[in-house]
Amino acid sequence: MAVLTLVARRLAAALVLLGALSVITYGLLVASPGGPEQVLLGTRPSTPETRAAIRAEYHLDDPFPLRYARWLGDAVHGDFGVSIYSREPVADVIADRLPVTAGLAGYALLITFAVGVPVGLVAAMGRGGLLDQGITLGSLVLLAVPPFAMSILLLYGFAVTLGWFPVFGAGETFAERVTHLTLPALALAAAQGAMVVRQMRAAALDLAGQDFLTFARARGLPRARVWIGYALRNAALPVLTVGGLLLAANLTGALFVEQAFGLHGLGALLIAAVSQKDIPVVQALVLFSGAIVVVVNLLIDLAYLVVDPRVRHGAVAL
Amino acid sequence: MKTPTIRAAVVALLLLPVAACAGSPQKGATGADRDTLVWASSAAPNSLDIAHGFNNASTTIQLAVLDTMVTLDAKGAPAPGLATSWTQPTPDSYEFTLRKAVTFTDGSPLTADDAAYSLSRHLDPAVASQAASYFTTVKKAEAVGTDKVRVTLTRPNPAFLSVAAIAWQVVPRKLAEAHPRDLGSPEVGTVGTGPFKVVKFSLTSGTVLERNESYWGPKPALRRVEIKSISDAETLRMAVRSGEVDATDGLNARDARKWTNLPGVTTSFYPGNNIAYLSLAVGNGPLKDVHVRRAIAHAVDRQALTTLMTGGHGTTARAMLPMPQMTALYGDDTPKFPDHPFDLAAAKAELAKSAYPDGFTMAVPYSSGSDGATVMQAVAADLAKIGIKLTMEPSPGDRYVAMLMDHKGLGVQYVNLSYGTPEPIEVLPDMIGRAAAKPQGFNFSGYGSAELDARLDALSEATGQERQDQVTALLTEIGEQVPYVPLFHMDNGIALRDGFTAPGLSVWNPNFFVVIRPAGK
Repeated sequence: MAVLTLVARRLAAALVLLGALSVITYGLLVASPGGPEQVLLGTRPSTPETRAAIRAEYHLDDPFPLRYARWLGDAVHGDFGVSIYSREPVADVIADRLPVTAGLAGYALLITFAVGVPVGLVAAMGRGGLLDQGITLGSLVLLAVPPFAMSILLLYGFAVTLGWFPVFGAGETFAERVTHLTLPALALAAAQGAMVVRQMRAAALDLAGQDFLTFARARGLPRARVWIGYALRNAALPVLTVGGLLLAANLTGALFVEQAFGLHGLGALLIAAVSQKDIPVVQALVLFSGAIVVVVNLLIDLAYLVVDPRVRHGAVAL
Repeated sequence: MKTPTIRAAVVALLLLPVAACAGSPQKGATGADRDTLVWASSAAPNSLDIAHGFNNASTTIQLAVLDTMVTLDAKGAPAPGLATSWTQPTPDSYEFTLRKAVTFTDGSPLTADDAAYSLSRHLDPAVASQAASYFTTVKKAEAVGTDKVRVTLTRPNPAFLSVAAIAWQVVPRKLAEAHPRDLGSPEVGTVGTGPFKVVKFSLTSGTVLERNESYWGPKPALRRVEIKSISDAETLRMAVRSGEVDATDGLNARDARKWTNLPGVTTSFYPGNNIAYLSLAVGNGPLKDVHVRRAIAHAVDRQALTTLMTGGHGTTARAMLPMPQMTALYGDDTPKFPDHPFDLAAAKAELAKSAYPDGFTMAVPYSSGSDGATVMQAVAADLAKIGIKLTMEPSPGDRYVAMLMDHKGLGVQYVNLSYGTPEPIEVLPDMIGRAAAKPQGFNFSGYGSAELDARLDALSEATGQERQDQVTALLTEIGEQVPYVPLFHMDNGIALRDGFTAPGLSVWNPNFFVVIRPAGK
């Protein structure tokens, strides 16, 4: 019951949040200079009739509240309109690109955790040692390299010089998709993995002096059991939080990496749509991103309940 | 709880080398047997219909798929397309004879009605065609009998054939009528009679064309064309370098050096139908004075600017027309127009004749991060030498363009415009017509008069020697009065990997997929 209350409360808050987001985005786009007709007509003379037809088609001369209300009316019925730029339904535009971004985000998160968690644990286990220092230094370096710079480095090294991976695009089949997304996922995961290493190491260190660990060791449990069964589970909360945030960030904001690898994902779409004043697409994307952040956070909270019985018993307090 | 994490880590680490092996890009066999071309553009095409996709990336595909009634020959003169011939019964009408036994790629026969409707749809406000400004003089287009199309104009317009060669793409009437707004979108697509047919059109995963085996004309050498878009210039270059992309037009002259050094890649450049210039708002303070304008023209080192902006793949502009239009009009016999060569002493002397002998200060908005920013900084440095101080006011690209198109804050502006046809009448009304000196028009100098409008009007109906003389007179007046300082013409370029050639590529024949062929074929 407590869980249901939590979910209901979260969803209500999410609605308010998304409403505010949509008003702000719509308002900012309308207030920004230039309009879709300039994007559509480019640097070419146009007839007043063409310009008037475009303005009428997209209701550009209506007052802001009316335009927003019209958009909102359609949106609550699930109709997000038609892209001004490509004349495709917005839902199709996003559905077309979601698999690329979702694949990239999932792949990057997989690498991030598969590498970050064990390496962070190893560093914590060998606290202060040469390995720990090396890992700390390495993760600092990776944290400092921005993803777009990492993208170019990876492209030159693995795609152009060695020719192991393709330079651009997302591929069509599953195998192609995996090879195409490996470098971009690495570019995204490099800094994020380093972040998880740091988190994991810190969380595990906090635990090192805890009584239950001392007791576990005193019972003569094997080292692996102590660290994985006891320490990892107890250190999972902060790492889960970071993981959720990273996933949300990857799903909504992998702009630079998508750009550098010529991936037609949601990030690249957002950049293009903003510069094209493609209001229906931007609106839908912003709402979608907002929803992702809300849902991911909710999932993390629910995951807490699964991972940590202490939270489960005090769930109402969340 | 214990093992899955470790297992996942192991799987991921194992996965990397596997992915690496599978990922070895299939380097295309370069040789005469290769008839698939992978093409990349720097922008994604948005529509296969010129009414809604009048931009380079889109028209590149339209050209390959859709035929026009008229085409342009190597010199820019109108030549037969889907029309085998035409007559001009009266100065303001044309009668086109349709090519026989042509079918669309969906199997339906091409009719005169299709051809007529394909033109008149651009006049329909419900279509909101981006090409409508090309056809403002068209009154109606109608089928006459089974194989003739009559076009009636509101007034004689010798440029009609040239604009028809660019924008009168023929599509089936049934399809176009059913989709006034979204013909050519990824959902609707298009059907043409051209050398290629569309197999796939997606904004995300690209476009695939295949040779139209029942094409009425000479069959293209390429069997299949895959079109991708890569917006990042450096990624595009690496994709060509690695062999994943065979050809692209996504290189600009300024960065040519980065491309000419690529192993296994040939670049070729040809004059583009464009002109870059400074616009001087003749109604704005000191710029009202012709001596000030001449001083500015003398003070700008255009040669240096040309080198800076075109990297050797362009020419310094001497008059206010794109180079290919000059060549189409005058051949090799271009007259000498009044010019203001780079000469600081002459600039100072002109300024001394004005009301501002010691110079003045003027605010100059420009688009930050664009070519315009580079040009305006160079111009400001040049003008400072004669005492004219430009206060640079950067603004974001779209804000600047919106301001410019609203004709707000006009002073000294950098403009670079591209055109489609060989007709000077496409350019000159933009520059000195009073109708274009209003918001959304391209006459940023505001130069114009009733007398000039009358001369432009006369030019729009002139032909032959008369036309040449009238253009010469107008360009001479612009040269003397300096509402604009012509700067440079930029070449267009394409990069091709070894194994492909593009013989005969020119500004009037930019049909890349027909021109490009496997080497040796």
